[in-house]
Formats: sequence, C-alpha cells, structure tokens
Amino acid sequence: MRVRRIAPVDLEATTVAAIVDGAFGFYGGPYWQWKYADPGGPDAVIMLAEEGAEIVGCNHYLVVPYQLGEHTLTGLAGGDLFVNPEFRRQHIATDLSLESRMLVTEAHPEADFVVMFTWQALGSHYEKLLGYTKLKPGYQQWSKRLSWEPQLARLTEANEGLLTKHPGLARANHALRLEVKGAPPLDLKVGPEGFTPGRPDGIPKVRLRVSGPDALSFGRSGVPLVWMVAAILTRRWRFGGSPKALRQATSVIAAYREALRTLK
Amino acid sequence: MGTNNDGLSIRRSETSDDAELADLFNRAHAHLAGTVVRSASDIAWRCRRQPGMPDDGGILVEDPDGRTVGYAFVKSNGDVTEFAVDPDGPRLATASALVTACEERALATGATRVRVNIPVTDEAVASILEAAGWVALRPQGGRYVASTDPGKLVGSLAAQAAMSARPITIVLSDPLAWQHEVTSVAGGTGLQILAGQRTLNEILLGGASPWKAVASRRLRIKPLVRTVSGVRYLKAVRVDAPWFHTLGDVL
Repeated sequence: MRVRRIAPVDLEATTVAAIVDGAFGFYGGPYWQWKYADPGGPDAVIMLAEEGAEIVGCNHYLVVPYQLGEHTLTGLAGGDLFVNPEFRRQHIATDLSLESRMLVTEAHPEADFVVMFTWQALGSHYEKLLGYTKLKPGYQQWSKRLSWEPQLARLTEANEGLLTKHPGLARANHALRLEVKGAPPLDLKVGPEGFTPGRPDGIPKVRLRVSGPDALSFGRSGVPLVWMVAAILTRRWRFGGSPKALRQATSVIAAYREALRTLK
Repeated sequence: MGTNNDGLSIRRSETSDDAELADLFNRAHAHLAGTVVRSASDIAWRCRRQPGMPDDGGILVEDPDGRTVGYAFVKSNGDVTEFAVDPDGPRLATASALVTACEERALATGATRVRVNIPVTDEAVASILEAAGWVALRPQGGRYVASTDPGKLVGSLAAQAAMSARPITIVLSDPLAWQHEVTSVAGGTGLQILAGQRTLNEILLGGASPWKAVASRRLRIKPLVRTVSGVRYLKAVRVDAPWFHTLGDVL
C-alpha cells in the first residue's frame, strides 16, 4: 500500500468525494467538499492510500490553531478516515493512520499535536495501536426531541407486521402515554389496530416513563427481554397506570418491545 | 425576530456581524483548552457555508444598548453547531433567549430534534437547557490526542509560559520515526525527564498526575533528588483545562 498526499483540486479528489458518499451514509460528498476542499476553510491535508491504481482508503487532517488555556498551539485535527468497502478487514485503517500521521507531521513540523475523534468502540484501538491518549470529555451533548412525527410514521407502517406476529394485540384495548425525558409526551392507543396515535377516553391507561432518549437506544437487534427487566429494575423505565391496563401490557410485552424500538 | 421580556433583541445574524461573533466566541471560551480560535473568515466557513445551514441559520442576541451578547447557528436538521454567550453580559437571560430561538428555528425548518454541545463546566447554560426540557446524552465518541513530539511540546508550552530559562532535557524511551529521542529545552542538561510518549501525552495533554507516573516508574527524573522540581515543572507546563469540541461538527 502506498500513501501519498493529494490536493483538493487533483483528479483523485473527485474520486474520493464520490467514494465518501458510499462510505459514510450521513456524510456525503458536499460535506467532504466543504470540510476539506473549501478554499476559505483551514489548510487541509488529504492522504490517499493506493494499492496499484486502486484507491483503497483516505485520511484527512486540518491544520488549526487551538487555544489551550493561555496558549495557542498548532494542531492537526484528524478524522474521517475511510477504507474502500471492498478492501476492508486488511488492517488498512491502522496502516493508513500510522503512515499518514508520519507524513503529515513531516509536512507540518510546526504542529504540536494530532487530535482525533472516534466512537467509543474504537477507543482502545486508538490508544493501544495508534498511541493516542484519551482526553477528558470537555463538552456535554444536550438534545431535545421536538416532534415524534417520523417515528410515528414508521410505527404506523410497522403495525401490520406487529399484528401478525403478536396476535395478543387483537385482545388489547388500552392507552399508553410514553414520557421520554427530553421529548414531548406521546399518546398511543394499543388495540386490534396495533399502536395508533391518540388518547381515547374511557379505556384503561398505562404510563411509561423513560429516563431519557438513551434509554430508547436498543441497538440493532431490538430490546432483549433481559434488558427490559434491567431497565425496569434500575428505574430507567417506570410503568404505572391502571392494573387492568398493566396486565394487558404485560401480555403483549413482546409487541411493546418492537414498537418502542421503532420509536427510537 | 423581536425583543423578549428581558429586553434582549433577537435577530438573524449577517455576514457583517462575523468579526464580532468571532471575538465573542473567543472571549466566551478563553478559559477552556482545546477550542479552535475563531476569526470572521472562520465563522463564514465553519457556520455559514457548512452544508445544511440555511441562509437564516444564524441567530444573534443584543442587549438593550445594541451590544451583541450571544449567538448561535442552527442547521436545518436541528443541530446547533455554534452556541456562545458573552461572559460579561446577562448570561442566563441570553442563553435562555438563544435556546428558545434555536428551538423555534429548528421547528420552522421541519427538524424533529435539536442538539447542542456545551462545555461541561458551563453549569449555568446546562440549567437553562434542563429547564427548557433538554436532556444530557451519554457521550458516544471521544477525542484522542498525540503530541507530534512530546519533547518539542514541553518546549513550546514552557516558552509560552515564560519558563524557557529553566534547564531541562526530555528523553523519550519510545521515539517514533519523526520524533527526537532527546529534546533539550533551553539547552540545559541539569535535569532529565525520562518517559514513554504515552505517559508524557497523558500528563501534558490528558491531565494525568505526574506523581502517579513517578510512583509507577513510568516516569523517571534524574537526578533522583530533583524529582520534586521535575514534577513541579511538568505540573506548571501541562494543559489541564477541559477540552471543548473542534470544528463545526456537532458530534
């Protein structure tokens, strides 16, 4: 594998922008163009990894002045490393990280440090293999859900499947008020139509209080029953309401599991 | 957008405001480590040209005297990529006005949620967010740092802290290809600090205790009798304020 620096105006950069669209779903070519190829942005370093004539990956750095207390130091903000999906699981990311870091520090001897952002799952990799130190988190992310509309649309679409998989729903007739911290309350009717928006009067009601949107993050495989029990025991989930409605909810708990996953 | 009950005016920010916004951001975050210094051109790139930022994504708050006391930028998806409050102005009222304006702007663009990053030490803004129904999320990512050359970094920090007259030598036990094994700060050899670069990174940039490194023998100071001086030196030059976020990425 060969690693070399390219300029945003090089032909290869266009290919990189196209690959980025496939490699990062949320990211896209326009975002890449803005971040690394905008003439009014900070100096960008684009490092290309090639295997023969094939582009197998890319890594990026921005040269930025960091304020550190009373000091201003030059930092290389690295990130957005990607490996062409066809060449994954060949240690290209590790090799590209190390090689590109060496090249970028040679090209920018004035730089004092390299800083990278990565997801928690990759953290130990960065510490053990790449020699980085984890920083104390200096910021806190805050969030507020303004509307449940997209989630409700997904839930409505999922109802048919829920009714087929969970025939017990046909016998249910209660209302659910979902109170997730950091979101407006959501009222649903649980019955032969599945989970439908609304809070009808005259039927027993269940209230589920969830400690925050994190507590609705179940991962890809859905909510394991054991996780649900743990959430209730640790009071991240708190059920309340009429005993009749709670009995009904318990009898269709598997359907609840899927519906709540849809509302994530 | 009008004037609120606290007498603060809220309006859309224009390109001509960018120099003032940059100055406000730098003053508001001067006590933190790890912020990227803002300039008018940086605001124009980072905030105004970022994909997903609508033309009216910038919100500016002025006090009754017309002084800018806060600003924010909100993307169409509800991500607040920039949020700064004048440290010398009415912080709580300004933060409250900005939070309300950010939510209104996000709703107007059809966003279903809003997100913002706030320094962990900013309890005042956190209390405003909490009162407005926002919730603190668990971090999903982390920042990792490596000095390009820990010896050089010690020199740089010492020079800026006006400590360059103190003779010291840094000896790296595990230099990488581009690093010097031995770095002399101020050319002296009176005191030697010997360590691996991870240990030095943790002390200089990660806020780790040099005493713990000495106790675990990951850091050695020669001569031994000057260990206290060496540790004091590292404590004086290290960066131990909390790190904020980089660039315009909200995550």
